[in-house]
Amino acid sequence: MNAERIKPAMPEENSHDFWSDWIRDNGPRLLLLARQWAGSAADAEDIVQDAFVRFWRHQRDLPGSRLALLATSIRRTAVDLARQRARREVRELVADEMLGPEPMFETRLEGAERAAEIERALRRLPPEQREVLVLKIWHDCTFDEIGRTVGCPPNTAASRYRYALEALRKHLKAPTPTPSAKTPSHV
Amino acid sequence: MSDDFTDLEIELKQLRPRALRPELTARLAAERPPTSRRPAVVVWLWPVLGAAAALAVFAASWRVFAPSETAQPPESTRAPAMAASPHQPRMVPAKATNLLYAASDDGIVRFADQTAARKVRLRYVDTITWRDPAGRASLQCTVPRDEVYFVPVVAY
Repeated sequence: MNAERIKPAMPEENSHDFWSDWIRDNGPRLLLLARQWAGSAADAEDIVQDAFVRFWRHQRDLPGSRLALLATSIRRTAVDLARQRARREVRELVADEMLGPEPMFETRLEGAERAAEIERALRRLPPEQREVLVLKIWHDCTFDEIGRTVGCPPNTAASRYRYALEALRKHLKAPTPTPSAKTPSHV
Repeated sequence: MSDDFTDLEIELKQLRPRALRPELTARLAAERPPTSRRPAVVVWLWPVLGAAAALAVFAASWRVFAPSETAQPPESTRAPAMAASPHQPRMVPAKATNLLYAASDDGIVRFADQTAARKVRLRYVDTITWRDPAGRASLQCTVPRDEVYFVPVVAY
């Protein structure tokens, strides 16, 4: 028999390894999406868990991207929860109360101040703009995909994205250049 | 998006969403579906179905063609055609063939214990024929059957 080398096979889709890897790679951005509507990090975690359970039980065989299916499911659950809370408790929440105090991004010592500043600016955006920004920047979605996920025309998604960036720029000071690097190095 | 925002977009992309807390990862692991559905169920589906179908056909043919030893109706109540029949047919297996009509390599699969194997599928049509030695009656049953083999693969 020839010394035939085989390519290492990908873990089977339903295997333990497959989902461990998939959750490690995609869980953070799904959680970030949930955070845009959830009242706290704990609520966002519950929403993410519910979405995964629903996906595994009922949506695994549906066509299309599993990330998109989970994002749509998470977004729908999170919006419903936010609306219920708004009706039940207060009509308008300030951003910090709505998003909870827990940071949404990894913080590292270098550039931590700038990261915190960006996050503060992000929290001041309306949730409709924040979710589009999250889907565009951290999910790499096109405006068509964003439109399908949030239920709006692609042009509306593009407009919200532009408004979000304009607002962020208004709230943020220009990054302070560091002596070691020309590009921002806060992460 | 417009180039005006390129710097800001780059800066945002450099922010990494927080990793899942170990507690949430553990909760998801607990909810995860059971590990891969082994294809063994599929492997034995066709043979079992085929055998069941063959058995059913054989049983039916036995009931139709074999002489009944119990509850014989009185001679007077039998239909004239039956009464005139020179003999009762008795079916005996006469021929069995397996026709291999397709063979495919379904690629490498990996089991839960991480062993790798090549999945080979052979597709047959099994045909069994019964005949009545005394007459001209015959019965034929054709059943599709898949055989799936897992050939262990060793990487050097």
